[in-house]
Amino acid sequence: MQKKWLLVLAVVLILLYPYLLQSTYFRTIGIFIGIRAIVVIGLCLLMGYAGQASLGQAAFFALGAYTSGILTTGYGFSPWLAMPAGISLASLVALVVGWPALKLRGHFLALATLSFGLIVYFLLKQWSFLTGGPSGLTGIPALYVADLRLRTAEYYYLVWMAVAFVAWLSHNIVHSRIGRSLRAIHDSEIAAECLGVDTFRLKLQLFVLSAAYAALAGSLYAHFIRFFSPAAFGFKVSIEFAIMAALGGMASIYGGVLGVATVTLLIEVLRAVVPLVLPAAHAVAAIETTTFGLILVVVFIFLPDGLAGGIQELRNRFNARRTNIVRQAKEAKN
Amino acid sequence: MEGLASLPQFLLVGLTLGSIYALVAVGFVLIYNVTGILNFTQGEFCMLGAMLTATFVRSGIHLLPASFLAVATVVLLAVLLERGAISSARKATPLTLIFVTLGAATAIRGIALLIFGTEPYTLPVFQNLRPLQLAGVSVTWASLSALAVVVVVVLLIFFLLERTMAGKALRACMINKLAAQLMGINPQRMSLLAFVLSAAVGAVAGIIIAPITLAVYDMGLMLSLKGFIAATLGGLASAPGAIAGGLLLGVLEALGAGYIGSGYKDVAAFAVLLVVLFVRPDGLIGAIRGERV
Amino acid sequence: MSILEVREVTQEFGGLLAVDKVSFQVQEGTVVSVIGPNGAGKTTLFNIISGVYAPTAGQVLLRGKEIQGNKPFQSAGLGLTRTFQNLQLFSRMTVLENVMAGRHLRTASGFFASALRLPQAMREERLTREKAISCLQRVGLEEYAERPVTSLSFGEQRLAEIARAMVMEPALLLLDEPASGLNPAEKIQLVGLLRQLRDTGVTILLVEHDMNTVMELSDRVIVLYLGRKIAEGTPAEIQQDEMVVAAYLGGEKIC
Repeated sequence: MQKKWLLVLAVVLILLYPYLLQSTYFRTIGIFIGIRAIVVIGLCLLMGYAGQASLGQAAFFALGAYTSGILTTGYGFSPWLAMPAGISLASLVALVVGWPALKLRGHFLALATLSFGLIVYFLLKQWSFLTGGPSGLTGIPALYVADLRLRTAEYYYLVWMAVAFVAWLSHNIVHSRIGRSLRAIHDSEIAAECLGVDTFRLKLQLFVLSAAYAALAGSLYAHFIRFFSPAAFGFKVSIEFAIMAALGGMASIYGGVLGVATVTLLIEVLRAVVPLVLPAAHAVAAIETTTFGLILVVVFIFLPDGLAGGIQELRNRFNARRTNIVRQAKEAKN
Repeated sequence: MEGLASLPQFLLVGLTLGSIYALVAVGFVLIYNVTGILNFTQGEFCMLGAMLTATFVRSGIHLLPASFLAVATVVLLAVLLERGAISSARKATPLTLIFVTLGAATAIRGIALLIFGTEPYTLPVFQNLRPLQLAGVSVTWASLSALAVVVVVVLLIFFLLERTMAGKALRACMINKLAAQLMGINPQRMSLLAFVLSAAVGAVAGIIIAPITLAVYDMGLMLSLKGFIAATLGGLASAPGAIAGGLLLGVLEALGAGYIGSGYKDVAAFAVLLVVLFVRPDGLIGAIRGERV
Repeated sequence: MSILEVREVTQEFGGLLAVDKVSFQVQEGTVVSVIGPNGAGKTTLFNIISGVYAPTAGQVLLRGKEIQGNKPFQSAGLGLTRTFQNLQLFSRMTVLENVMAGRHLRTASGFFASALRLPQAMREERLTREKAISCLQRVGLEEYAERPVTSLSFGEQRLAEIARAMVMEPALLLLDEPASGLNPAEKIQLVGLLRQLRDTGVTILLVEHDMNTVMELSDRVIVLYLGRKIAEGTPAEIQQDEMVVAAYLGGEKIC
């Protein structure tokens, strides 16, 4: 019951947000949170539920963004057509890469996905004829619905509709036959196999799904920002996605969204505060990087279930203490 | 397009580069086999070794004491890292430990940026000496000394592992952790020893790479990754394998850069890693050795 | 008719013969036990039959079809499943979810149907829940359905694992030391449960140390010693077999 109210509260907050904080700056942050949340939800499914690491998620994000960018600027595609094209391409690539990669275990999968991410990043810089090289793509068209151009406020709602859709799909998957079997793989792959779960196939399908999410987010990013360079899709970005998923609590879709919001807001706060304290030009980047690193260390050592898990744990402790107090009171009476 | 005439020059460049990868890979294999951790801070050890030495030299300390000071600082940091973070997460899954070391590496990089800034540092050694000409190949003193240091370090590591009690215990841990534990070897102390050794080797690698390629605060990640590739090529199980893998990777990269184009150097390195992971998860060297049985 | 046939199965680990040319058959609807001292190769044999290991040599036939070297999920698809000596429950799930996971093969909804909550998926989900609850009732754990599986006692976890296997409606069920760690009352409950299971047509192959359980349940007993089969027969025959008594109990009589 409590959970339901929290969800209602979150939805109301998300809906009112652009009008509570009426500035392009805050709306833009809201859009970025939404775009990243789509990627991170996929990552939560993959890492939190099925226990498979991906340190190359930015590559699929890039495939979505670049497909949209290239097809609309170079070949006159409608953005609404380029978007599914990007999702399809990313899914196909995920299938081809995942086929050998998901046979690897533990850190080897992490290394393989990391390498894949870096290869895509280097190729984006290298294939200038297609990707614009290190300077990237410019002049990507804005989105229109009929004749209405989506400006920041409208774009905000479009992105969050996509987030809601992706979260709904993911929630359904988690609480289904497929979700149970995915969680089973995480806890005991051998037992899952003995129950007849084709673990490899399931992991592969999930990998493809998470790539499709990331590509959708990439397309939304491309048509919002409208110019970008490979720097937006480097290793650091893959790690940021992983941090967001981990911080929120990987085994929770809503935790993932919470993690995205926390990290994104933290970055903005640092950008505002650090220059006041440390005047050096690179101080912001330095503090940001250090903070990210420390978050990773602290979360993985002390908060393995992330913020969502931490909150749950606190609540459990509180409840336990309350029942203890009640029990003690009863015993005292007797 | 380059002809065959440049081949010896490319080979030399490759071996120099490769010997540095080899050192990173050795440190990586040590930690991996003793603790089961993929240690992403390995490259940061190199970066710190290079940056600290350069900073000390700038402030007027002579190169040799500056190097010792830098190595000692990096080792101290590694001890703090092992005791502070790694040992508190000992029971965690491999995946968790990857993220812990990745986080530590990121934090170190951030702090390095704060301290050293974005400018590249150089180590002014052998700058006034002219390169040697050996059979048409121009050999810089920097790469010659790098190769010499690598040989010394490798010999030192082998002496440590083969001839000392602590080294033998470490090797026992690398081969079979459980059996080593049953023989009374303390795995926690071995983990610390592996970190100390790897940090020292890493810092040395950083110091010798600085005069060749310049040192920047963010060089660590790439070095870590190249070290992983080298170690994976070498089968991940032994120091000799890691060294062979490092040299192989260096030569492959130099040839790739020379004959295909420098832009594809890194793509090729990671593609090699993917192929090895997918086709031979035991590594190339491991496979070769496997046939001997 | 034999549901399972093991033909000259051999498993070598680096020169060590863990299982050495073992052959036997299991008739449909019976309970067969594999016994033997530690290191006899019982668990290895189980791992081969269930597809965890591919044997070095020999065949395993399930209803006449070769399954050696199959992945476990493929054999599961043919009606064979197992439990584990050291328990392999899904620790992050509730008791009910653990058992529901056992219905994977009896349901078909994929990513698409699940994600979009298609009516067929919802219907399946309801049915899965009902089946799982009825299995929990049969093992007596229905009141713990919504609890985390890790909150159960060891004996209850064993029962939960058996319920998870039961819900699959397997033709052949492999149980790896189901009685170990159970108290006497739980053992009695286990024997009753397995009898009931056999009466519904499930063939049971078990590895077990607890002789009372073995002798009470089994139609046939197979004795392994150092990787070889040294005897096979009814419980009564095995108890009389001098070689078994000598090898297995160092001279002491069984029971």
